[in-house]
Amino acid sequence: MAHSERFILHADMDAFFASVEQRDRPELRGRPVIVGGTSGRGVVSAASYEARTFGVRSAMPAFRARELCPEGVFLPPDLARYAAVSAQVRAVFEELTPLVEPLALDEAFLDVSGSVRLLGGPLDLARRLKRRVREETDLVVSCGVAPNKLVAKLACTLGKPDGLLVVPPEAVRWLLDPLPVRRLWGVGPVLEERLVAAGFTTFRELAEAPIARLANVVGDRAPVLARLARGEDERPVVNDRAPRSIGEEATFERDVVERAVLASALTAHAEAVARRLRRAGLVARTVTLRVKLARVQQRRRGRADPGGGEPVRPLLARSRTLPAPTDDGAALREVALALWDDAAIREPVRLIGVAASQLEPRAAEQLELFARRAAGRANSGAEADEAAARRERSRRLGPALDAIQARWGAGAIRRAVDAPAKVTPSGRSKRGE
Amino acid sequence: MQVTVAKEELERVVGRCQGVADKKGAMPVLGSVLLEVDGPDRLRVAATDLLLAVTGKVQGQVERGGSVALGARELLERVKNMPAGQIAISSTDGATTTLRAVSAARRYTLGGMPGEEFPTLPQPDERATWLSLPPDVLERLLARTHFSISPDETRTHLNSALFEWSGDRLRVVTTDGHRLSKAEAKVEGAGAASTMLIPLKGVTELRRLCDEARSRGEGEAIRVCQSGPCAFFQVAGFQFSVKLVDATFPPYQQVIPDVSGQSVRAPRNLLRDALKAMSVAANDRTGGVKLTLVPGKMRFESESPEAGEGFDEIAIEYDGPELVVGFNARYFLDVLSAMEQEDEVVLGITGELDPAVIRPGTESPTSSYLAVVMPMRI
Repeated sequence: MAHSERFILHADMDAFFASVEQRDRPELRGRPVIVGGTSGRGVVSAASYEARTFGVRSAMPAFRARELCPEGVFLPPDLARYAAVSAQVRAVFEELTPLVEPLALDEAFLDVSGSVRLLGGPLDLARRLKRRVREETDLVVSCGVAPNKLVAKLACTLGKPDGLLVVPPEAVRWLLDPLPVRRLWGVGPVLEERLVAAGFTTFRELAEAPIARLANVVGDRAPVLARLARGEDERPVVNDRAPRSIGEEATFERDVVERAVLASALTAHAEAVARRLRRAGLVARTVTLRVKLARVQQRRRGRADPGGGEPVRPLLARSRTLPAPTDDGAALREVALALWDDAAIREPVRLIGVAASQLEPRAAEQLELFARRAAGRANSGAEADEAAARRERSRRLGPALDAIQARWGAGAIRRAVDAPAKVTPSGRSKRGE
Repeated sequence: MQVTVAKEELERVVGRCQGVADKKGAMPVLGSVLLEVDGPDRLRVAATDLLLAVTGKVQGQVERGGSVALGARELLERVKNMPAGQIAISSTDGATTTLRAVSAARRYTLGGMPGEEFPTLPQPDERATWLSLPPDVLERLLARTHFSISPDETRTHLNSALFEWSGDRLRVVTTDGHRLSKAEAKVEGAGAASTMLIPLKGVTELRRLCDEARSRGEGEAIRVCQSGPCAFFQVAGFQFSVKLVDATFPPYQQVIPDVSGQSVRAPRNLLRDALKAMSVAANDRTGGVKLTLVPGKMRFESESPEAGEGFDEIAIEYDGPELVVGFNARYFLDVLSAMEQEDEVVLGITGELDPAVIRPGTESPTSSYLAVVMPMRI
């Protein structure tokens, strides 16, 4: 709870806008690319590393950049394209944690405290993030992992380009102490000048200064500044959106009527949904079964595109709300199967899926007094006992499966009810997967 | 029917009865109070919702026998508004009833139902064995267990209190599936064995009766017996009956851990204040507070996305290994409030997923108490 270890990751795309341009226009690779400043009166939005060797920096007036780097390729920014790439990157971030706080199109904080252990520690997690970003976008991201936002951001910047720096709590002071005060959050050129004039040149001097002496220079901000200089920062990562549902579905290679095959697919989907819920630290109250029938629906006449395009197949959805929210695959599967049976579909199915919605953060869970030994309903004590014990075992199984699959791969272990000839879950990148 | 009774007495007895009457039900007769001449100088007053029944007696002057059933709320309101002194009650064969102040002009007339329509109330078997105990002993047994009865009426076996009477001990046990409380008292009188499940509604009403008996301060005992499907209680001139729950109480003995080896003593007030303070910052939905035992200290922490964090610490006698357990703070606070006479409490906490036991700091030969609280997985 309150004082568990935090792992905050700061991810920052290297020379983002310029890199996108170089990626999409191979002739620009290796050349100094400067985005922004094409009008002559603007400022530089981004500079490729080639341009930076000339001293070009972001936010520099365009005329200055042209002086420094006359042979630079100056491009107008294409924000729509950058935003699309940014969304791809964001999706990769969300594979690792739902707690993503974007700072800009190319920069975000991720609270990975919940997933760091499952993904083999902070270093492996950051490596995975860098690899996935490269796979999805062919771009380079730098990462800093630390106990808080302040240190994570500094670590990320220090590692650039193509950086990856993990700062364990015991190394925070070691890393920060020698840094110049200008690096500290909230210290601009003016404050820097005043601090240096008063004899504060490094983080260490700020961190160890008597508060009264520091207050002479910065007033009320002294305690905050000293705390930041010591690498203490409790601000949480605040994500701007919560997922409304988590779903898995897949199209069969051939249309299916056999319940056993459908059940097997539902099991795989339910387990995958449960895994993503657990990774995101969420529990779901509502389970939805999605079914696409094999038969083609008759189009209504007068539609805009007569005859063309994809054939339309009936899509059915059936939902049920659980008495208590869950992240247990067996519980999701049971409901999905019951929904299937209740739907009484007697025709070939093309696609089947399971979605979990009405999501809420997993909270502390009150344990049952009689769960292990006896009771439940009076008239079926033994039965209730067994059901409660089964639920508890199943509930404990989920995280164990996660840990094994994280270490040995998705095929290493699965519930015995998964038939081996199962469908592959859909390949799209998804939250929590 | 024609009878004259004292206003204060009638108000007291009707007041007790209208608490039992089923005022919202579909059968009007269950929402009424029966007035019935029961002897040469006595009026019987009764109410029932078919689960509970209560009967009281009012001394009076009988002119003519008979009975009538009057709406419980309506009757009580009118009696309350009568001036002090005697009230003459008369009802016609059509059940129209007049209440008239003997020493003033005030009177009310209201419609009722013939007394014959009122259900027959259960009566104890004449051979039933009665147990008798002081009202404050019963009140204390109930006060220490009432809070952990499950409010869920569909789970009848948890929506009730277990009364186990064996020999000279009377034990009351309640649980809602997450926590349990067990109170025991030594009682005088004939030894008999009986096990009863009294529904929550009955327990609540029984506590009111105990209060009334204590406030009258007559040192009068409460008599208890089980007969047929009902339990009967006689106190302060009332007979109260409750239909017992026909279900099996969970095997509570199995979930009371033996923690005699690993217990810590803590001042009840300090513990309660810390828990109360921490529950302010606990998750609204779960009420979870984290307890950490370290040598010499007990720490309390709460945290929630909405409420931020809270931290507190108290000094206790403990020299075992560090132990971290999450609990619903309210469950602990309920127990601590139930032990308001105690200066110290003894906590038996053994593991993060194991039930915790809370006992009073001092054991008494005539009574004992313990509460079990299941932790939260945090």
